[in-house]
Amino acid sequence: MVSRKHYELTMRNALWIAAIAVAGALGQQASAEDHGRKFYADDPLWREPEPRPVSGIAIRGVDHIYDFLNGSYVTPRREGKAAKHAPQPALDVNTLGEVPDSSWYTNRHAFHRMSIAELQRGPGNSTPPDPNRAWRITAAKSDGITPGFVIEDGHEHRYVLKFDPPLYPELCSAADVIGSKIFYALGYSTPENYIVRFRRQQLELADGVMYRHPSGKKIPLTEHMVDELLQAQPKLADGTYRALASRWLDGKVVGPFDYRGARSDDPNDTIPHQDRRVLRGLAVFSAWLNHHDTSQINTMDVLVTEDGRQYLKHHLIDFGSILGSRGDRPKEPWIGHQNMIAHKEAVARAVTFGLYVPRWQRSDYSKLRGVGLFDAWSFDPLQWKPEVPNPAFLMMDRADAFWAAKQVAAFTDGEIRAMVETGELSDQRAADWIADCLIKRRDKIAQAWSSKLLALDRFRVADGGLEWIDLAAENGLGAVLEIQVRWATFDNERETSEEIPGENSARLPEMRGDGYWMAVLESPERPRQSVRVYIRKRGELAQIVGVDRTW
Amino acid sequence: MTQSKRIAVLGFSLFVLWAEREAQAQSRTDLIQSARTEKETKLTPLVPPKAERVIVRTQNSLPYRLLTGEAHGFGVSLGNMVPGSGFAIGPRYTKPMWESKLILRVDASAAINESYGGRLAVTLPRLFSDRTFATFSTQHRNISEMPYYGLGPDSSKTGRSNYRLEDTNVELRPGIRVFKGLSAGLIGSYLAVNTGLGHSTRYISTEEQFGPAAAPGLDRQTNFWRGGGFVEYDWRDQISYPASGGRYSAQYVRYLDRNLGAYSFLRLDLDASQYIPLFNRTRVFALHGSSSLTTAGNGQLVPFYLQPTLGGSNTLRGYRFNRFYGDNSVMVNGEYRWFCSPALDMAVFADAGKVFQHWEQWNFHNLESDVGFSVRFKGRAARPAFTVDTGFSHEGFQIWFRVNTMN
Repeated sequence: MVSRKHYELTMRNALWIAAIAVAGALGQQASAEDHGRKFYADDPLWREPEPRPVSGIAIRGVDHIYDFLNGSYVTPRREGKAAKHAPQPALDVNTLGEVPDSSWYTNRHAFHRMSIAELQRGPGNSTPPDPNRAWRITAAKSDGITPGFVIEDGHEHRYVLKFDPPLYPELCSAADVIGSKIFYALGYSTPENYIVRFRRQQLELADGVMYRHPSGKKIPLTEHMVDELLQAQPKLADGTYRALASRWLDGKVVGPFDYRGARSDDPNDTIPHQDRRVLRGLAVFSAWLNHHDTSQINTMDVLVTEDGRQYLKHHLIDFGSILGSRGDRPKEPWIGHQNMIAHKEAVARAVTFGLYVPRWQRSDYSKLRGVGLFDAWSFDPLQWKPEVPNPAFLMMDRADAFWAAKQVAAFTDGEIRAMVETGELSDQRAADWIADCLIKRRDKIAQAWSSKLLALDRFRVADGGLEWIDLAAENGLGAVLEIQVRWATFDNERETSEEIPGENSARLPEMRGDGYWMAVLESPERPRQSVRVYIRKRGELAQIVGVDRTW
Repeated sequence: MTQSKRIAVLGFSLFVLWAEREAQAQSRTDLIQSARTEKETKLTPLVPPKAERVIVRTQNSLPYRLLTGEAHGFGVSLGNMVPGSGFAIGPRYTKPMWESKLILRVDASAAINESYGGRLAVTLPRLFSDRTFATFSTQHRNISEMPYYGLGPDSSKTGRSNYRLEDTNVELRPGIRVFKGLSAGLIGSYLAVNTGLGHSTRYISTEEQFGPAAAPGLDRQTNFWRGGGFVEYDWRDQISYPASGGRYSAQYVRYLDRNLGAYSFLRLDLDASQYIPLFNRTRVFALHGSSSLTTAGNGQLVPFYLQPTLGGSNTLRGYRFNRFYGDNSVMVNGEYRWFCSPALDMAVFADAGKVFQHWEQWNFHNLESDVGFSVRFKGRAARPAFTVDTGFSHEGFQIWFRVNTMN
C-alpha cells in the first residue's frame, strides 16, 4: 500500500526525471548537431589550448622484454588489422590536415623556415658542459646499450655523458647529435646534445656512486673503473677523449610514453597515441633517418612547469641508433628492411637456401669512420620497417605520410649538410656520405608519397583565385599535374555541398554574403585522387579553412 | 533537504552543465577543453598491463635470475656434461674481483645417469697492460657412460661399449699477446685418470668387450704431468659467431706417465678456420680443418681415453659422439650458412675425417663423411642462442642441440 505522501513524492520525482530526460535528449540532439558541424569559428586551429594543470602523475617504467614481445607479436595483429579493416584518420590535426602546436609537437622548419644557424642550434647549443671546470660523476648509466655517466658541470647543469663503441669511434655520438637537430627541426622536443672533448683529469667522482655490474650486483664505481672505461676509448691527438653530452631535460622525468593508448592519469592526453599524426608521421621521419629503434625506451615524458601550471611534455630521446649506427656497433644490413621477427621472410629464405639476394644485401656500404651501415641505394620508403612494429606507424595512412613527407622534402641540400656538420665527424668524406644519403633518401620519400595522393599544398586565396603549389613539381620530381577544378557551395551545419554549374577554373566563384565554398581539385592523370579545399568568406575576407584529401 | 529537492538540484546541475557545454562548444578550442574536462573526471592511476607485470615479476624471480646468471654471480647450469651423458644440472658462481682483473668461476653439475663434475677456474685476463694473461683451473669429472667402439677407423657401430671415466686435472696456462691477434703460451698440468665399469644397461661395459690390446690403458690407469705450449693467430671479426677472418692454432703437449712408465706420449693439435663472407655478411662460407697427431716412444702407448676422437657436434655430425678413436685424426668441415631473418640462420654442412694409426697415413683417402643442415636461433646480439644440427651419414642420422656454443 502506498501512502499519499509517498505517492506525491514519487510523482514529483517522476516529473523531474522526465524533465531531465527531455533536457538530456535535447542536449544530446544539440550535441549531435555540434559534431555535425565541420568548421568552427577558430578553425583552422594552429595551437592547442593551454594544457590543464596536472597532478598525481606516476613515474612510468617500461620493461624491454615486454615491449619487444608486445610489439612483435601483439601489435601487428591489433594495429595491423585495425589499419586494414578499420582505418582511423589522425585525430590531432586541424582542419587543414596540419598538426597544431602542442606539448607533443611544434611547427618548425617546414612551416616557418629556420635559418642555417637555427637548424644547427636545434634545441639549444649554448649550454654545453663547462670545459673549464671539473665534471662530477654523480651516477653511472647502466641502462641502454652504451656505457656512460651522469655528470654535473661547474654550473650544476646535469648531462648524460655517453661514449662511442671503442671499435667504432664517432659512430654513435655523431648520430645522436645529428638526430637531435633534425628531429627538433621536424617539430619534436629533443634534448640538447653536444659533442664534447675532455681530459681524464676533468672527471671527478662524487661520493657513493654505484654501478650495476653485468652480474646484476650493484658495486661502487671507482676511479679505476673510470680509467678502465676511458682506456678503451681512443685518445685524440691532443690527449682528450670524445663523447656525447646530452643535457638533462628540464622538469621532472616521469618515464617514456607508449605509442599506443593514452595515459590514464593525464587529463590532457585525450587522443590515443596511435591516432596522433605526430607519432604516425614519425614512421616517415624514422625511415629517412633509419631510426630503427623506435621503442618506448627512446621517448621521455617530463613534467614541466610553465606560468605556474604543471603539464606533461613529450620528448624523443637517444638518437644513437639512427643513420648507420646501432648504438654499440654499426647497423646490420637487414635493419630498416624487415622487422626483427619476420616469419614469412624467414621461411621463404630458409627453403630457398638464400638464393634470392635482395637489394639491401647487395648494397655497397661505406667503410668510412663514423658512418656505419647507411645507404640510399637500397632504401625503399614504402617498405621501410622499424626493428619492432610500432602501433602508431602501422596506423599511418597516406595523409599522415604526406604530412611527414612534405616536411622531409622541405630541407634543402645545404640545410641537410649543415645539420650533418653538427656531428663533428673528423673525416669530411664521412659527413659527405651521410649527407648525400640523406639527400637521396629525402628525394625517394618525396617521390614515393607524393605519388600516393595529389601533392597539392600551401593553398591560398589571392587575386580572386585559388592558388596552390604542386610539391612534386616543386621538388623536381615530375611535371606539374594538370588539375581540374569544380566548385560547390558548402553547408557547414549539415556538411552538404551543392555544385555550382559552369565554375571550372581556379578563379573563385561569385560569393554572395558570408558562407562556405568548396573547390574539388582533380587530375585526369590520377583519377582516384582528389583534394577538397574549403573557403570561408566573412565580409570581404575569404580564407582557406579546410583541406581534405582522398586517394 | 528532501529527496525531491535533492533530485531537483541534481537535475538543475545537469542542465547547467549541459547548457554550459552547449555554450562552450562554439569553437574547436572549447571542444578540446571539453574533452579534457571530461577526462579529468575519469582519471585513474597508471597501472602497467597485466602481461608486463607478469614478465617483470618473472625477471625479478630467483629462478630466472639464477638461469641468467644475474643473481649476484650465482646461476644454474643446464645441459649435458658430454653428449649422450644425460641431462645435467648444477650451480655456478662467477665473481669478477679487483675491478675485473681476476675472474673466479666455480661450477658443479650432476646428471641423471650418475655423472658429476666440478670445476674451479681463476682467470687473469689482463696482466701487465693487457700484454699477458693466465688461467689456473682445476677440474674433476666422473662420467658414467663414455662410449667406446674400439680402436681405429674400422670399428663397428654395433660394437659400442661404455666405460666410466674419472679424471682430475690441475692446470696453469700463462700466455702473452705478441700483437693484436697473435698469442702464445705455456701449459703445465697434473692429470690423474681412472676408468671403470660403464653405468649403462643398454651397452656392454668396455672392460667386458675389449681387452688392453684393443683399448690401451684399460687395465691400468696412471697419472700424468703435462707440459707444452700453444700459439694462436686469431683475426675473426667476432669470437662467438664469426662471419669473416680466421683462426689458426697449434698446441703441443707432452704427457709424462709418472706411475707406470708405459703411457708417455706427445700430442700435437693443429686447427684452422676460415670464414668468407658474401653479400654484406648475410652468406658465409666457413671452412674448418683440424688434425691431432700423437707419438709415443719405444714401448709406450697412447691410452685410449686420451686418444683423438671423431664423431659428435664439433667433428663429424652424422656420427655418434666419440664414434672413432685412434692415435691420430684428421678432419675437415665445410659450411654454407645464410641469413633467414634477424632471429634465424640456416646452414648446410659437410664433414669428413678419419682416425689412423701411423703419421704416414695422414691423407684424405678413405674418409668417413656426412652431410647435414643446421638451424640457428639467434639472440639480439645476432649470435646463436640455440642451435640444432642434423647430420646424416651411412650410419644413420644424429641431432645435436647446442646452447651458446658456436665457434
